[in-house]
Amino acid sequence: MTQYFRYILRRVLLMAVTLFIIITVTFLLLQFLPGSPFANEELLTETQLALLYENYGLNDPIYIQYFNYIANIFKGNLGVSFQFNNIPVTQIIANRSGPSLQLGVQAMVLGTSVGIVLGIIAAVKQNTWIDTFTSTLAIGGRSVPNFVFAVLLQFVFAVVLEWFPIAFWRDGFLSSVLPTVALAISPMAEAARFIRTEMIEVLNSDYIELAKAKGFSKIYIIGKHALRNAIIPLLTILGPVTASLMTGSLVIENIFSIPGIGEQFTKSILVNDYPTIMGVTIMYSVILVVIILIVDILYGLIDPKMRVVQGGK
Amino acid sequence: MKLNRKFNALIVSLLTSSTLAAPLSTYAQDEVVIDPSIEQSVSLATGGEISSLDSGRYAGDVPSSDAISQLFEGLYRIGEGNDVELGQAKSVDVSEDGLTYTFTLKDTIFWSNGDPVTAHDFEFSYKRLVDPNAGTQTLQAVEILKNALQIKNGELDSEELGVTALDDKTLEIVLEYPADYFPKLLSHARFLPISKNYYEEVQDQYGTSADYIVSNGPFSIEGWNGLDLEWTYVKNDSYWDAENVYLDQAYVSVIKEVGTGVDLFEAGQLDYVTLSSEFVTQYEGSEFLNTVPKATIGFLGFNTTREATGNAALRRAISQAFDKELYAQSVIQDGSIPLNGQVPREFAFDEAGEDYRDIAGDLLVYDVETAQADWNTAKEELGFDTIELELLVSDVELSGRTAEFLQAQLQENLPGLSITIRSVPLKNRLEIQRDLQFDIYYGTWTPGYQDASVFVEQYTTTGGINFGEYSNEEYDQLVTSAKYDFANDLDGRLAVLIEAEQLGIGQDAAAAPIYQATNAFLLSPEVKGLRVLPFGRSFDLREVYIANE
Repeated sequence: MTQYFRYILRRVLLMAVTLFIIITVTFLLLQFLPGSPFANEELLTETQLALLYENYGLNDPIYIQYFNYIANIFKGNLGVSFQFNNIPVTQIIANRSGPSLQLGVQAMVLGTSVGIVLGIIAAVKQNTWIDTFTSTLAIGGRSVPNFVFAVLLQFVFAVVLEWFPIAFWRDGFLSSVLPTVALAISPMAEAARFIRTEMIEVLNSDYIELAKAKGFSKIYIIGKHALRNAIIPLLTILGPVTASLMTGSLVIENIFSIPGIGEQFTKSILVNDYPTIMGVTIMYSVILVVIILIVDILYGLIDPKMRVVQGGK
Repeated sequence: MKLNRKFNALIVSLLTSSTLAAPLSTYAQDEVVIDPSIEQSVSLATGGEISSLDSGRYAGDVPSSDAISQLFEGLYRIGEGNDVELGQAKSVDVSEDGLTYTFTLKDTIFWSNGDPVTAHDFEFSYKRLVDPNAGTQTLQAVEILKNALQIKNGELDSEELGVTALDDKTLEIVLEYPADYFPKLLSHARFLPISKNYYEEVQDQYGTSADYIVSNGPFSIEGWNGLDLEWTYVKNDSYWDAENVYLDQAYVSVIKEVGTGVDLFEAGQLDYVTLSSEFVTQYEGSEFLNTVPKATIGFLGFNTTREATGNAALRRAISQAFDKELYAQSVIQDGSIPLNGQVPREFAFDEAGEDYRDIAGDLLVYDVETAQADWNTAKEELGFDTIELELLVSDVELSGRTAEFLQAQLQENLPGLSITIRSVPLKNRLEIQRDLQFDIYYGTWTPGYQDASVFVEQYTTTGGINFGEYSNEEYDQLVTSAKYDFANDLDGRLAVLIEAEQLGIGQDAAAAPIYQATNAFLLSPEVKGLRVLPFGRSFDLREVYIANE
């Protein structure tokens, strides 16, 4: 167990270092963004521009700005937004993250669970029409951009059938249904593909033959043994899937006019709102890194057991 | 005596019964008839969030300017057609030389917290606007105020601004140069006043949420906490002209995807939504579609410091060698119209109300023959047979299509010309232009105030968008003369500007005008009295009312 603990500890430290590097690199890259954070810069006189830069601490040498920034992070201060007239970045994030995170989690849960089921069905019914059908679904989900689905879903289920609101975040859970489904397509496709491949391999392996010979039912076999093995590779892609959910949400948020952080992030980049860009990047990075950490922990949990089973084959 | 009282009572009862007998109450102001059974509320879409409700601090963005324009009123307010009329001011006295405006404010104007609006509020707001230490963003047009430029540069203290409150209700404004368009300028969102007392109470929090402003305009705002995507304008009962404001509330939602806005409109959840070009073609002929020309222009800029593009004949040739009508119809397709001159239509008018563009006539019209004649002249003068020029554009979809269109047209009509296209993000494009690393660029531009001079001034030697460094002394002189020598003589001033435009554009082709943009939008027919303006705020809600067809 202590070995496991050390494993976790190493992972956590690595996480902290990764975050630090991300923050530093982003900070540096921002210095190279063309343009300025002040709208209509051409209309400002030299003096005004100088004062504005002074005000926001942009005149200090880069390492001082960097140092101040890091120090502020530890105080929980992520700076003030340029575009929103001095609203603290933490407030923007707090205000807008809710919907995005909710959509992200819902899409992840919906997508992976449906994907796993599809993958299992495809694997079990390998090479039948069911397999082809579900595989086609999965490929379709991967190739068609999620905003196409979003607009289609919006049109069919909101405009024509009127089952769900067309846009906005006013109707509680109902408002989140269509965007969640649109966002879930991509994780679903990934999960289905992975599970199918892994399951096929696992289902053909020796210890499964043994279980079958022992007379266990198919469902029991799948649930207890096969799935556990097949899930491991799926865990690997959980990180990238989360990342794609975070970035994919921005278009969905625009289409459904949802007050999320995705499109806020893009807008900040376009208007050179450095503090907001940094703040949201940090938030995304923390989420991603934590997910990867969880995946690593889960690996550690699942793997030793597997090693034992295979050893006892 | 008893008889009199009875008589009075009779008259009164007769009067009241006659009004009660009427099926509809009639607010008989300019034929506006309100049906009390119809809810007086409207739902609008806007393209982005409000950055601030502080007229001095908002980021120059359209959504904020639109919001501020509904909540506050300046010395002038939007009136009939393209005109402005006195708003918070009761009367104005303009000096002979056009440099001093003395306003007397109305006695019936109040902030929504009950404070009276005073001349001190205006003085405070304008001084704050030019004070470099106040953290305000400003407008180049503010330099019309005496000493504004020096104050912005830090050479003078903001106290020296030519805006003085002579007493609570008298405001004196002194200008640097006479400007008959000054009233229009005063209705712009930046020039709308802030309550001095209230600001001193809340300081930096002013304008950051609906709770931190006080309005003096037709509406106040609810439900905006600084980051919201939805809010409501509610009729402001303390507005001096509230009895002529019919709308009770206006629900505003931020919609960034035009398709979603259109869906909501079709579902009856929105009454007003702006369209992009794909949807304009879809709605052509529909009763819901409206198009209003906008003051935004699309044009080509030439780098006059380079040999080829420094030649006037070559510039003229290029300017006349592409079909603007075809461009408007097949490339932009959103109702935009071809532009033959620097100043667009529906923007500037003379004393009689005639459109500047009609008076000045068309310049650099599409004409292949003339273009080719100029092209041959250019070939001779520059000594080339074939030439390659680079067209710089932003990496936006429309710019890309524009570039391809121009490339095809120019290469076909001007033999020997080969155009390469360079597509970069907007900010990079601006930097490249500043560094003079281009031959020709395609850009769009919206002016900062509503007067013909704002367009013509751009190509003086120090002109704002004169990236190509066109410089002509005579042009500069004409523009300066127009600025200073024509106090209160609008027609005279316009004549000089027309002369300058004829020289700079018509003759020297400092820029090649392409088109003038439009506002295309969907509007429910029950919504009456909505003003969609070619310049400044996107719409004005003051006179809106809802009525059946």
